[in-house]
Amino acid sequence: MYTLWVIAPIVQTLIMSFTKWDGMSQAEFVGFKNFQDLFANKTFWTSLKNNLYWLILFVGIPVPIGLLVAMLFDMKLPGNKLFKTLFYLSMTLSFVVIAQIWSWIFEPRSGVMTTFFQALGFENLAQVQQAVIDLLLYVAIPLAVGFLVGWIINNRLEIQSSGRRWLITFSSLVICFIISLTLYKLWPVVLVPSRLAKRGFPWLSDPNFVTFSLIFASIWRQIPYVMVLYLAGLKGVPPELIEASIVDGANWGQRFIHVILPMLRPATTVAITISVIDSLRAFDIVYAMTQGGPFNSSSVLANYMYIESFNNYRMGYGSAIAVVQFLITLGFIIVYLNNVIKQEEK
Amino acid sequence: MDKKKRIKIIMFYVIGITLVAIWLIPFFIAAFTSVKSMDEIMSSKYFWAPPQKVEWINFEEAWTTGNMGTYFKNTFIVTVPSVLGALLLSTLSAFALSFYKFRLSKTILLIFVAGMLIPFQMLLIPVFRLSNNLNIYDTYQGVILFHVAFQLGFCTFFLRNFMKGIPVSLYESAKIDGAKDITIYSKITLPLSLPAIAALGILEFTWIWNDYLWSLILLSSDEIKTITLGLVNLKGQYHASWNLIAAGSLITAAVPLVVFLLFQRYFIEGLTVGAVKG
Repeated sequence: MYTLWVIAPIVQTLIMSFTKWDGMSQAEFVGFKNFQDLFANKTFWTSLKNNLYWLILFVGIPVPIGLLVAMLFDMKLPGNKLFKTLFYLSMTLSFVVIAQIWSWIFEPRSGVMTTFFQALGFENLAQVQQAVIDLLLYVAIPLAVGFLVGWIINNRLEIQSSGRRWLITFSSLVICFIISLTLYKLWPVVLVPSRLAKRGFPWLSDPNFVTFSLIFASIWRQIPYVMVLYLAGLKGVPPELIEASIVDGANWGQRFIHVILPMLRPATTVAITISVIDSLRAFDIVYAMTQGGPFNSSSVLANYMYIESFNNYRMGYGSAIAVVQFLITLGFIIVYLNNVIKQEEK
Repeated sequence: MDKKKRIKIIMFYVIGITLVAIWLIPFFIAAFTSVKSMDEIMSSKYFWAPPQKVEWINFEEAWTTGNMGTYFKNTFIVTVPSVLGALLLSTLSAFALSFYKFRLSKTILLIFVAGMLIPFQMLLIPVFRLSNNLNIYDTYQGVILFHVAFQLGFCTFFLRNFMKGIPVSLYESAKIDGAKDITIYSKITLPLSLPAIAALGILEFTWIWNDYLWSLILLSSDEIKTITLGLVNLKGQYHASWNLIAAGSLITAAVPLVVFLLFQRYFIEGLTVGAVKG
């Protein structure tokens, strides 16, 4: 049964990707033509680019945030169960429902997003983008780099006194901020001017922004999921290990980096591979929210494949898209399988 | 130290409450919209503000004129047999993979795991064609059979991991007592795996309930559509009546939410066992 519905279809799709078929008449063998057409098609490249955005953001945002939230809710304080339950709720929803609710949140005139950014004094999408970039360049990156540099210096020189450690961290932060501010004049050369809407907040109808709105909505569902994985991982961290590190005089940051993170390695691997695979599978939310529009700008491979195969009846061509998608996923599936094999050997 | 601890506790509640509040905003918007009249939605500046007058009639209308009632029933007809079928078959296959030692057992397991991670698009066209050829396109059986077959991968993987934990000595002593394999399966393995089966059942139930893609591919007549398709239909038909659509969304979400709240422990266990132990 499994063979009939799962394995055989994979083989069939592989074969079909070399044919031209409209779903009714006889399929016709065309060699690599489907793939050639595909690589010449603009929508394909848009979808591929969007898939890349999905992949980066769908892993880059939920995994660290999921970890932090898991650490927060892992504190054994009254009420943490209720917090967790409420937080998990988004995970139980169908993507179709999520698409519906979030299309209201992204309502351009009076949706919550628009109201929120208007209340902060923004007038259009381009300004929001500018603010995000500014925040990254002048606050987040210097902060991160400063901390990292300070931390490296502290460890290299094996500085013990905590007063000195703070001084070094602080001065490296200040230096990083100064550097980023002096670069202020140079950045505009590097940055492309914003192509986002200069009027209003068309979250879902600005071709250059819509994908990010979609990713945002599905991250709302993904973070609790990653958190579940990490909470399970945190259960596996023996409390004696943490106590021992406290006795050794490790501070919170050291404990996190040297004790907790290594213990969470398996959970991280799973969270990342699953997020990657899910990001490449994104279909429901794209299809239900925008159908890939406007002008295919939010299309991803999964959704492009569906439209070509079932709306335009180009099944051979659709299969070729599926094969590309499959090949991209394959690497990550192998990583996951490797993980399974490793567990088996234990 | 005491002061440090107090700061920690305050941080926990402040951040925790803020996070949860932000996370629940979408739910509130849906709930508010679903009990408002269209006049109120149109006249207020912020349509997501709390309702001034609560009107339950939207739910009634979505249920009857919006056909959500039918879709609701259909989804049960699809979901329940799919879950039961997948559970039944996967307990058997998982038993086989954990009980018997044969050369291909690892390969079969890996095929199951790989199958559950594959992009669905690889399967769409052939499955569509297969159900056409078998004359089960646009029937409940078509969707159910597919769900059972596809979920078999995950279910087997999940249950086998659990069954591997059953001590071998238990099996051996049963064998010495002259028990047949099928008795071992029904008298030892099944009862012992009950918690895992429950967790898996809950998980599968919500997944299949929430499925959209496969119903979209395998069903076409309105009378047998599942609820996610129904919601999209509702949106198409009454696209100006946000209150109806919101009510429909909540009806769609209701069952998984209730199942989750009732069986949260199983649900979470299922998710973690399925993924981390993998």
